[in-house]
Amino acid sequence: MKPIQPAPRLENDIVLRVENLYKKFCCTLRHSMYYGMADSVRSVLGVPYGTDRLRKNEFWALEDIGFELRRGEALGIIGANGSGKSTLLRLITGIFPPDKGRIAFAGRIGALIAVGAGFHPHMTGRENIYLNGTILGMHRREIDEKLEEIIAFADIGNFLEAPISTYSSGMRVRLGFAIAVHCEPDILLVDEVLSVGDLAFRNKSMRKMRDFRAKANALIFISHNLDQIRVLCDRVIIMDHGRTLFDGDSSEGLIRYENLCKDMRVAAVNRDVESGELFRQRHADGDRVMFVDLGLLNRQGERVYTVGAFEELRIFIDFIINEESEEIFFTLAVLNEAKNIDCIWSKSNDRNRHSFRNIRPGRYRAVVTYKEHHLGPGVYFINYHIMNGATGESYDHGFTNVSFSVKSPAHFERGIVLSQDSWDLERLVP
Amino acid sequence: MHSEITVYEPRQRSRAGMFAVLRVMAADVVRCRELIWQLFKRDFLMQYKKSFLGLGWIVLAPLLGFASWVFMNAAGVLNPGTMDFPYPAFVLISTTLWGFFANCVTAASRTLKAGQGFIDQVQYPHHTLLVKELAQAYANFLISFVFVALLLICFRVDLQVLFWAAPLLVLPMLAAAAAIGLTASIITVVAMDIEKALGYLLSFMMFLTPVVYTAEDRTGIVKAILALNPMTYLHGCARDLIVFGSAAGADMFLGLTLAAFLLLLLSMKWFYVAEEKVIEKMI
Repeated sequence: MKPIQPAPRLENDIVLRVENLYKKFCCTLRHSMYYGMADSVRSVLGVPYGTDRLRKNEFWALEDIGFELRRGEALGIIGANGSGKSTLLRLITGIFPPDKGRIAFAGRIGALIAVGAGFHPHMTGRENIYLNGTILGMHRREIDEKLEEIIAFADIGNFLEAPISTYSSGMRVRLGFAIAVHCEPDILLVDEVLSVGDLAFRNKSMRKMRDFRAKANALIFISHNLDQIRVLCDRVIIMDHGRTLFDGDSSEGLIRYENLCKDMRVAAVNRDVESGELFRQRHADGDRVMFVDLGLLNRQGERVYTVGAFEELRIFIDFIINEESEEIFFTLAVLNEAKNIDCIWSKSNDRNRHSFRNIRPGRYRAVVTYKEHHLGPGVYFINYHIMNGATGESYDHGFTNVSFSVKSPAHFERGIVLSQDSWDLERLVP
Repeated sequence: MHSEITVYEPRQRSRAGMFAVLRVMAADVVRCRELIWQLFKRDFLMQYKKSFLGLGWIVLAPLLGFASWVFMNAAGVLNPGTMDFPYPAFVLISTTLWGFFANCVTAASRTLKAGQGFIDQVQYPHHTLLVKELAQAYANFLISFVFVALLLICFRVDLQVLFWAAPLLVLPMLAAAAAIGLTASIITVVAMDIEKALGYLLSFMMFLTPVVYTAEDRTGIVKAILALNPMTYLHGCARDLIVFGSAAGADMFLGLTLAAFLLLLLSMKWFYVAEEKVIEKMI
């Protein structure tokens, strides 16, 4: 869409400005049909149709989004599914109109939202290059000039003259990506498409993105692959439910996002726990000893669901004893989120040091404290086992959905164990 | 880096006047002519690529319709009225013209759906799809027309000079069809009812229009309906000029031609303003 009103100026090296942007959608089909008809008739008659307020069953998919993008800058946009990232991209490219706010940009915008838009299966690779290139805004002469480069980048070999219905899905995606990256717009929007193809193609794509930036073009990059964001972007915006949660330096933003994801995951799991899905599996022998609850405590003894890296970790287990017990023996096990590692830790009370004998009926809480845990950033689950220490009888054994998260340290860490490390580089052969 | 600044704001298109909209649309069509050509090539040539008869389908479809009308006439179930022209030739030309009108309505009503695969992925002016769809319908008509002309020449049918003006005489029908189809294309995105109804309506309208019969000799309510039906003039006059070299109600034909083009301009404005609001319903 070309501007009908005179366009404002963008200062200095700003290439894109998004101001107080709002977009709403409707969540029921019937209302969507009704509003669609009513709004299109009103728009033709010149009657305002309340884009600035929500009607029944409408919701804000984007709410008060604002940022600027400078020449040569690479901005990563991250957020959970449904946070509004792709909607934002569609508004910036002009596919959807905003309901409130304004977008202004200088030059040509290119969007890599889906590769291979408009491909026809019965046309050859070469014919589809021209078709898709034209759809993406390239002129025939421009495509002629870049044809060899596109073919080389897509690496589709002898299949160029074959209908693309004969291509593998990987080849099709490679061709679509190759065409799109050769459009060379002033601002490139990339939505989760760099993870296509094999490793060699992904590396080639990343190199192409870096070359693109080196030419002082601006880049907006949406991905769930945080490593790609870290490599490509200087700045990130974290989106959540259509709002901006963070806009700043990418290394700080990525750590915040990792922690946010873990907190959301733990909150979701613990909502399940609160709604009654406490156990995945439980084996209890009568009601002599009954499990009540378990979880994490902070130093003040308050229940928490998250703990920092290398901090003190306190896990409690509450239980009721109905008959006096000769000796109680506990095991608390920590599992990773995928639950595919049986135990990261399995701690039992050492009977030589912490022996719990002759326990009378009542409600109890046992707490195990790890002075400095070495769990890597992630989400963990806790299992328990309560036994009779004297006879070895099992009272209650549960695989629970109770979870907690370990926040990311100030630098990126992968894996399930954290450690303090140092690196050296030595030249062995000149 | 290009210095041109583009701005997107709410209700941007509603604020534009009629002439501004038409100017923008015309400029977009010129600017996107390569895109129109590529999409035309893709859809026109490719629709017959995986077919043994290929482009032969363009002439086969009207021929089958023509054969059924000729059969019904021969069987005496049809009363086409009196005419100084061989009925088979008359019905062949007439159904070809009606087929063109119906194809144009259907094609224009597909304007937004034609880009469904990439309309929410890439930004481009969607009215270019209307041009592509109509060009495709017009190309189909031209192929049919050449075929009909060859057939009539082979059977030594006496053709009027105005027969060769058929590609121009059908333009008022194209305008009316585009206006109807364009309006329908917006509604179809929101609710599918129009798309379903359109097929039935076109068949029904064909019987209310003197396509396989002549308007003369009709009496009573049929005469009144035919007189009120704009297609009696847009289709009937064009056909009579092509077949007989002259037509009754030529003044109505001219008036309705003007109305059809005005309607098209209004529907283009409606499309331009309303489509940005309905695109998001396509997802």
